[in-house]
Amino acid sequence: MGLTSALNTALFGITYNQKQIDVAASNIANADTAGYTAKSVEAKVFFDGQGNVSGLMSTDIRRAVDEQIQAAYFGSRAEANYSAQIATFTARLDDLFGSLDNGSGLNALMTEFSNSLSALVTDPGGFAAQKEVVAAADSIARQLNGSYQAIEDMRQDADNLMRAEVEDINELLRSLQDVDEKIQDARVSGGSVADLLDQRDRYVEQLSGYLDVEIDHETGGTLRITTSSGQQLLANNKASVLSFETTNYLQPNVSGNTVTVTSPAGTRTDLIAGSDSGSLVALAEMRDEVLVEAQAQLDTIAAELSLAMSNVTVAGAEATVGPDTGFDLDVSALQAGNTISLSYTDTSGAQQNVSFVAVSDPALLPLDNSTTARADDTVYGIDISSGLPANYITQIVAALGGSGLQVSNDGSDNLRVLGDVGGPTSVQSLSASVTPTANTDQGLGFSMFVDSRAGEQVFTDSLEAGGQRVGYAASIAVNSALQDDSSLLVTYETVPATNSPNDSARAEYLLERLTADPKAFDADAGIGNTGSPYQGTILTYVNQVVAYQGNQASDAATYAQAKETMTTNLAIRYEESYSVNVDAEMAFLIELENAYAANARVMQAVNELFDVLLNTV
Amino acid sequence: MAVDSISTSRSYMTKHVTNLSKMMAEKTTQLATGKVGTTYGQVGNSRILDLELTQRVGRIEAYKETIVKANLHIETLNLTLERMEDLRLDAKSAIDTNDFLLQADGQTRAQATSEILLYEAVNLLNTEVAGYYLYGGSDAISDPVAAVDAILEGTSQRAGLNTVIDEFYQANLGAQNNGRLDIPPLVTNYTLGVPTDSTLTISEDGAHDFGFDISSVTSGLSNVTVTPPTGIDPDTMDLQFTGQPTIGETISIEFTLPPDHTEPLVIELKATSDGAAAGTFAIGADLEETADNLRSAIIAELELQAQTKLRAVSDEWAADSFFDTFGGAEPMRVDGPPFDTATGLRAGGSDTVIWYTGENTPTNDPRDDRTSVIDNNLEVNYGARANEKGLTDVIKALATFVTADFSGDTDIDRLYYGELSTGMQRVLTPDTADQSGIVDITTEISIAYRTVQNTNDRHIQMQSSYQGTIDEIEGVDDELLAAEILQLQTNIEASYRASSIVYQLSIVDYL
Repeated sequence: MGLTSALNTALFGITYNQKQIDVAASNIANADTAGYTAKSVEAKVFFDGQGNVSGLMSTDIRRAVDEQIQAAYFGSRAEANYSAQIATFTARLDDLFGSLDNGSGLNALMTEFSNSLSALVTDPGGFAAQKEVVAAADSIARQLNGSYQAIEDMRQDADNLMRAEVEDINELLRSLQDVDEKIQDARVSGGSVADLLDQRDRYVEQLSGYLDVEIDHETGGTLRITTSSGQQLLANNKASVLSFETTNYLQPNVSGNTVTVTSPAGTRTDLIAGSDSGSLVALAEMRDEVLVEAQAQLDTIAAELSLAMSNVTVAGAEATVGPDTGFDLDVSALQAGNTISLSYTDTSGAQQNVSFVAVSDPALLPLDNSTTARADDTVYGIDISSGLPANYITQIVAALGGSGLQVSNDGSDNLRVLGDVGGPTSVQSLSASVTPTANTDQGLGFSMFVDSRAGEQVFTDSLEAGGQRVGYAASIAVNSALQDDSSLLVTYETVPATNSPNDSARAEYLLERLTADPKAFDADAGIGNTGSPYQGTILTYVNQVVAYQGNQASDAATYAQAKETMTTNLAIRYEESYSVNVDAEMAFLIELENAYAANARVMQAVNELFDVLLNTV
Repeated sequence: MAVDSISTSRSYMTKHVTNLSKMMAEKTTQLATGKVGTTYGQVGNSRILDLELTQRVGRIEAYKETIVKANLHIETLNLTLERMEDLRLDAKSAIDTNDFLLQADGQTRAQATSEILLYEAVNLLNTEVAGYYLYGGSDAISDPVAAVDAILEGTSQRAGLNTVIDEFYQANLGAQNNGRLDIPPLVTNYTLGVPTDSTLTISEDGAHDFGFDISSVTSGLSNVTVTPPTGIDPDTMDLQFTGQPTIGETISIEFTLPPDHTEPLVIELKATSDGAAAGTFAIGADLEETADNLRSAIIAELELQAQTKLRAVSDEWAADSFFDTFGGAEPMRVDGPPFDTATGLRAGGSDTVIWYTGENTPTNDPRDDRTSVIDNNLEVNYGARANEKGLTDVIKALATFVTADFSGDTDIDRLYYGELSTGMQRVLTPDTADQSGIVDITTEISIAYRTVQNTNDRHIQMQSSYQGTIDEIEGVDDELLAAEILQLQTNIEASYRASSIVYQLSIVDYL
């Protein structure tokens, strides 16, 4: 024990106090800086054999971060951003499909269309009533075009946003690589890494919003970042590179490009397929699934509306040969996409339904049973490229070979399907649904809507080239002949004589097809399922679509809100764990000031003691 | 992307307050619009019900518009039908069998009245309501009934009722003016200049429906041998006098009237000494003279009947042929000229005035011509065609009566007047005793009217009930909302105050 020892102790104290004041000052200065964690410094004290302080070493500057909360917060951000992204897009869809009360929604336009047709039934000859129908039809067509285009734009938006996000992620990964290098350098040279760690946390926080990432610490203090399925984004202080090409025009029902991640070793993997959360995945999901499904719903509406107005049923004529009864059917008018429906009772007494779907491209054969929306039928494709009814009949005869029915050509190229009393089998019905090629003289239906992709074409719902209905909503238009001459809504016959301009037959037919003709709708568009497709009229189907989109938006919004709340809670706790408390720092500063003064006092006392000692000598 | 640009601290308290004021704005919007949101996504889980109901309310609006139109049509139909029924009754009383009063212009007073009624009837049948001709079936685009002048007098290309009636009259009357019969001179055999027997033959001039048909002979004359008609067209009968009949004995010959030859016309002649009274013939000096007297009496009687009774029947036949075109039938004309030897009818669609030009396709129920859709799967039918039987009868009777010419004011004219007016009265009298064809139509229309009214009432109820549910789904409870807004206001104010205190509190100020 000696005076020198006390002096040393006080000197250590003062040095340490100065360091602490530095840190406190820095904390106070950065209290409002985003991501700045409160820093603290601790000291290790060494004693000699007599209990004297022989040395004091201040440790590194420490950060006050609760790493568990931080991990939970980063993990929650991916899900929150994912659901927020989905909610944003589905809310746009909801706005597009079903605004209350403005009369421009699809459902309102459909109601208006059917109302205009009822008015036409009452007043077929009225020019105003006819124009009303044409205008309503035109509104629907344009609304379908516009909605389809709006969704297409949203897909492009999503595609472009994906590129922006991919660039951001690449930038972040590069920054992380840089900051990790600096951290390593600082560690080697013994410098403080706390601020660098702060910065690295901010990069990771941003990254975790884009992708669902796993963060691990490697030995040496660098980060190892992988996607949830293990794709490597940053490892051994080397960043992978994400690459993505935007698509100039996203084709209907075709997915856009995916994001590829190339590891430093050169391995290429599909990022989207390996991730299930984060805003980048949400964008890909919107672009390739949700928005495509919405487009498919519009296509279904457009297709079924067209077919309802145009297709006419060709009924089989009853035929009897000996004891066997059945039907003869004229199949000459079949076009690609048209169907022949047959119902019969087989030898075991079970009801069988068969649909023959006409195709002009034999490469499509054989067709799957899911080709038609009906769930209870067996589907056969018939190649009509020959244009010869006799050839179609030959194919049908072959298809029904094992059915126990007597299928033949009746001699004048009509399909004859008879039951067999000996079988026993019996035929209940045989009819064809055929799209007229002309506006008059082919039954009460006509092509009110046409496909305007390549000039004006009759919409037959053909399966060729991926299916005529895919993307049809973008190009559905009102037949120009009808726009020029609204009396087509009444004139269905010109041979032998033109029917009266006051004849309501066609108007009644169209109205009935629209409002009272239930049919099954293709489940691929998301409403109903393959086993039990949605059945109803077009009017109710449109309601289902609007409700579906509303429901989707509402669910997404609720989910996004729940995630947002959770993430916010975590964020608050995370921020609380690291943020600077100015009050505490100020109080600590006073403490330090006192300690500094006390140490100084000790030094002064030692000094005085030395003076006394020296003077006495 | 620059992290360092995020310079302000995240203050979640501010975020919370911002959320509160956002919610406040939302609630205020709800209060202003009265709706819970702006899209179907925001109306909650009843959105499909909301959509379906909104659609149904929209459909009901359209049905109600249709009903307004249908009501107008049906009410007008009722009015005109009522007037048509009145016209029928007026016509019945106007065509008075006993009131032969010739006016200066050659028409009888009854004819003048009938003509006025005819004009009105045609006008009623041409009633139009905003482009829809009530009596033209579904598709009339102009007056379904031709103008009275055209009906009566025809046009330059087409014959009118006048011509048709005249042709039928010629065909029925025949060249001999006796109803298409041949009554050649007697065939008498003599022995030394004394007639031993004399045969009177009456035969039809051919196999056809025109004129009289000989049906049967009942002879009470002694010394006369009757060869009765065989019943095979053309029929013939003989009366062979082999001696003189006794005074007071009678013979009656029964003829039948066209077109279907079921209505009999009996000529009964009585042998008298002088043959002066009507319906008698004189016994002459010998059998030949007696037979000749009988022949003359028969001829005279036939000529009289041919110009009165037969003419009236012929007119009715002609009118039926001209007017009965329901379900696409063509007007029929006598196949000629020459008409007085005609043996059949021909279709006259190309050169006869088509009095009714509305929808005339074959149908079982003209009501089906006009359909109004007034509800899902509910249609009312209230079509009518001017050539339906009840309506045609009125026009037919009036037009035929107006066409007839009584201007000669002779006895024959008077008798013809009597016969024709009786015939036309029969046309105007319903087949079943209690109600006319017009009343039948009216009844059917009234049922449609009832249906429309009931449906309309139902629509009004349904609409208000649907609307109520829609308002419940889409709407907001004003009281609840006001309370919520008040609560929010308090919360926001408290939060502002609290935030302000927290932000101002710093130990720095107290050091």
